[in-house]
Amino acid sequence: MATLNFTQTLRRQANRRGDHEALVDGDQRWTYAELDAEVDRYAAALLAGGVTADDLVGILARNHASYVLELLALSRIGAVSVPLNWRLHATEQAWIIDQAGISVLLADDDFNDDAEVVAAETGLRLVIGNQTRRVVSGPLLGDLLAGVPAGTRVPDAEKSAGDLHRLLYTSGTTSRPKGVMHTCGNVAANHYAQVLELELTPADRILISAPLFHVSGLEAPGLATFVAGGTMVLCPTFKPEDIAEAVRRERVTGLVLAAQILFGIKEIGRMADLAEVKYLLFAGVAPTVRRQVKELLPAVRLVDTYGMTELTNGACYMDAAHEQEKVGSLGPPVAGVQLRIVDGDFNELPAGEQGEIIVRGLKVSAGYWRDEETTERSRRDGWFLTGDVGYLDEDGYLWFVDRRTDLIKSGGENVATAEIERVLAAHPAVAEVAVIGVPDARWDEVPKAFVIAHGGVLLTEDDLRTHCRANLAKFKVPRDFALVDSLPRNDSGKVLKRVLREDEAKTTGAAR
Amino acid sequence: MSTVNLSRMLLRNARRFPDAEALVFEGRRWSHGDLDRDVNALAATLHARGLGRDTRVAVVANNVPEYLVLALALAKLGGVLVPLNYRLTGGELAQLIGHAGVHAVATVPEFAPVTAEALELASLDVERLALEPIDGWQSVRAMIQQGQGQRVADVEVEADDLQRVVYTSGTTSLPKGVRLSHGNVNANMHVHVLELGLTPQERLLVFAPLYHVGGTDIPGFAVWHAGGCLVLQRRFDPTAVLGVIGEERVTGMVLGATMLDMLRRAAESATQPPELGSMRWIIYSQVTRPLHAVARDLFPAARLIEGYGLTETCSALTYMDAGHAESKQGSVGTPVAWVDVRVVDEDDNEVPPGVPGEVVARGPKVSSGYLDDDDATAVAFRGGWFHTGDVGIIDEDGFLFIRDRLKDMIRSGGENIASAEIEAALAEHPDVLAVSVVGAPHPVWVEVPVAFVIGRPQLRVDDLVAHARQHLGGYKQPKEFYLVDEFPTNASGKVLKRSLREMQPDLEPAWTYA
Repeated sequence: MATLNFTQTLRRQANRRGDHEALVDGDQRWTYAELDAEVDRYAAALLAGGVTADDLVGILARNHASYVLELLALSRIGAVSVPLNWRLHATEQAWIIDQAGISVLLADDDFNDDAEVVAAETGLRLVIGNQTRRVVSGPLLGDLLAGVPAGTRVPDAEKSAGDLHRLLYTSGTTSRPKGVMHTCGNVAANHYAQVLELELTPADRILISAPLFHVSGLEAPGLATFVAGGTMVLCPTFKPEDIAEAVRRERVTGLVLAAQILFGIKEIGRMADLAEVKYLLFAGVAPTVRRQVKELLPAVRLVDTYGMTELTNGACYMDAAHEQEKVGSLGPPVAGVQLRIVDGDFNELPAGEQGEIIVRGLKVSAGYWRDEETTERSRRDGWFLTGDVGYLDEDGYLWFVDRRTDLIKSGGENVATAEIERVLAAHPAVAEVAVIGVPDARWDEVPKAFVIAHGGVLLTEDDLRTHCRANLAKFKVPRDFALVDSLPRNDSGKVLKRVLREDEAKTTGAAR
Repeated sequence: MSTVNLSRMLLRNARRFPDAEALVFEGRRWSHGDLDRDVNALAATLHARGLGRDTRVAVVANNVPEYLVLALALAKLGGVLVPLNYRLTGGELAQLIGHAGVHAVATVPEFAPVTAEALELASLDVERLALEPIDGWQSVRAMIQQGQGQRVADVEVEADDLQRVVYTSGTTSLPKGVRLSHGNVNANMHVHVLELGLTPQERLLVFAPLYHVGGTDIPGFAVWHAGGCLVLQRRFDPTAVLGVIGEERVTGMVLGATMLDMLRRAAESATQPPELGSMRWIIYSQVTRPLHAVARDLFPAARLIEGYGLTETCSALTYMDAGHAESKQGSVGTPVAWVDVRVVDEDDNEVPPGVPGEVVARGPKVSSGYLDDDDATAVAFRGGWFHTGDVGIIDEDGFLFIRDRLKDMIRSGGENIASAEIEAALAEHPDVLAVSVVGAPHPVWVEVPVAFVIGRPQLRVDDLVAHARQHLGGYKQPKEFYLVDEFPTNASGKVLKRSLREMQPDLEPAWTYA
């Protein structure tokens, strides 16, 4: 259809409400007219710097306005953006860059070192420094912007629903992260669903409280804020006090809150700063906690949710009318999404029966980038197989039972046990390894590794920890290590992680 | 495989706010729960009688709630609605019903005779459904009762599956059936949710006929998609409208220009000032400056939005906020979400800003073509763009101005004259409320422009003639002026220029060029 470029929205908003506040970053503010013009400037600057519509462009940056402008500019140009998780180890970054075929990198000063490493180790053609530090003598964004003639306009590239808009790398069950494809159709469908489900209007002021390399920063509702004509407010850190302050100062109407940030705000006694928001979107906490939050914030809609990168964020949002009556449920499917529960033979199960959660709709990702095999395995008859277990109640509301056995959710991040196992298995002294998630009150889950050392070798926890730190993002490094003599296995030799989890639960009790 | 069936929104609303109001009509009220139940009930009964996927049902009726319940029940079953203009003759209806290939026809008592006549003329033996009780016709209300408690799953439709066929009141001999798919309708609802910031708190007043996109799609169904309420009126009655806005706390409505003038007169002669403060937005089209001021006076808190669209584009292509009303007087605005609009020459090349050409459009809300009319489709939808048949200009800032219908252009002494240009110039006169210019045959010049004017009581035609001389080149000055109280309009308020052309020879002009 050629009319599905997300940034066409900015032209429309610049026309309809050019003077309305669009973006806030500290003391910097842009109206829609200013934002649209600034995106033209950034687009022209990137083009002048050598970025083309055929490029996949990685970004290593913190949540400041420049990041948002870069994302919008890349969309306008028609290039594919690949927001990169700056918590990852440089070796992980390098692997992603080559797997994806990323040819251009935009990097903040803070990540200059990693940028230098990956520039040396990968096929990157161009690296642009976002702030003051060049990378391998590449250009600086500021210089490129200064060179753009005033009033330059860059037309929005023509995009159809199937065209790729971005890639987001996520850990799942495989030993390497996978690039989830978000097409122009996926993001358009998600933006519309966010507007409907959260009842977004131009009066909304949305705080981005998660990193822009994460789907909950980008799409919950994230960029959908611009589609609604509201105001996007950025926060430079994810510290509870900074978030509470931003909500208060900027009269924020809605935001996502990772559980640990919510607890942090509670601990510093600043829940009152959240009292006047319209909604709070958060997941992964026990019903008792949800009830406590409701007592503290009676006028705020508390939205529980089920979503993931492959679903372009939320597939279910709890509605206001049922959030108390059905506390613990993740809500009904959002507009445009169909959700079913199936048994092992893919037969639809009736209400109340547990089975695999499968989803379809225009917002479901088209697949994994350059990984036909994993894409095929995760789809059947047009449905995406989440691998999670749940059930639907009589009213069609989703109740979550268990996630895929090999996936750990820690502080809102996916951690694939397979990734940690791959890294540990590479240590010369390690003979066998199995990683499970163990509960954590603050982080939801954290990894624990069970390791069998080769006979006669002296291996310590510190050795293992050091080895992990040299190869994995910090949040993937197991908190606990257990050096053991054997692992529980079934008859075909497969490690019974269920047994490991059960034993864990017995020994640790309810303390954590 | 798709998830775009129009009917899906009903369950979503019924779950989220089952007791909130969804539909109001002459004192009857449906909650979202009620609406979902009734649509399911009707779908179940219709399904039992053999209606299902691809079944077409024509409706000849003005606005009654059962019209909407039927529309959604049909969508749920994967059927196709064929809403027909109730002002057509039996013969005209017969042609359309025959063309559409319908399984059933629904009507109301007022139009039962002409509908029955149409079925006779077309020799069609179809199911006869009554939206309000008619002797000998199957009662839709009874079907809704009969099916209570039953649920029918929404049939899975693809984006390009038909939801509706709407016959355009064309300027050529036979109307054409515009195919509107579930994808078109979804895209249009999306456009309006974003354009108007629709939420569950919206209360839309609908008096435009439901056979027209002005009734069902501006924003129409979009309000239900956002979870809001439709306040339905059988027909446009200015006094009733002023009353219901206050009674029902209406937040938005769609108006034709002449309807706005009728509201002004009704408000002026009302015994009590009407309660209009709830109005949040009004969409209208082809409104002159004086009438815009009328709207501003009546609804001071409302956003006034000028719009342009066609049946083939499932209504709106462009909208313009009043923020630009002064600087871009006469413009219809810029494109809505997911729509590209261009102005092209006869060879479909885009013309530079400021140069007139044909307005063309594309996007997921644009129809894929005309029902069973490949030739007309091939012409109008060539090259992946829908050709509107309107002449327009896009200025340097991307604002669209509509000059005229290609077919309404006046050819005088070898020159092409856009009637809209003359209308705009005459509308500048402070005592002119509305003006419509058409071509009248002339023995020497082939055609000449003549102007029909609705003016304030103090308007003097000599003044107007002088004004025209001052603002328009010689051949563009109207050769006759007619002072009238109103224009012939269709049911959605659009001036019927064809009728003016037909009337003109029998009317007495207030002034003639000598």
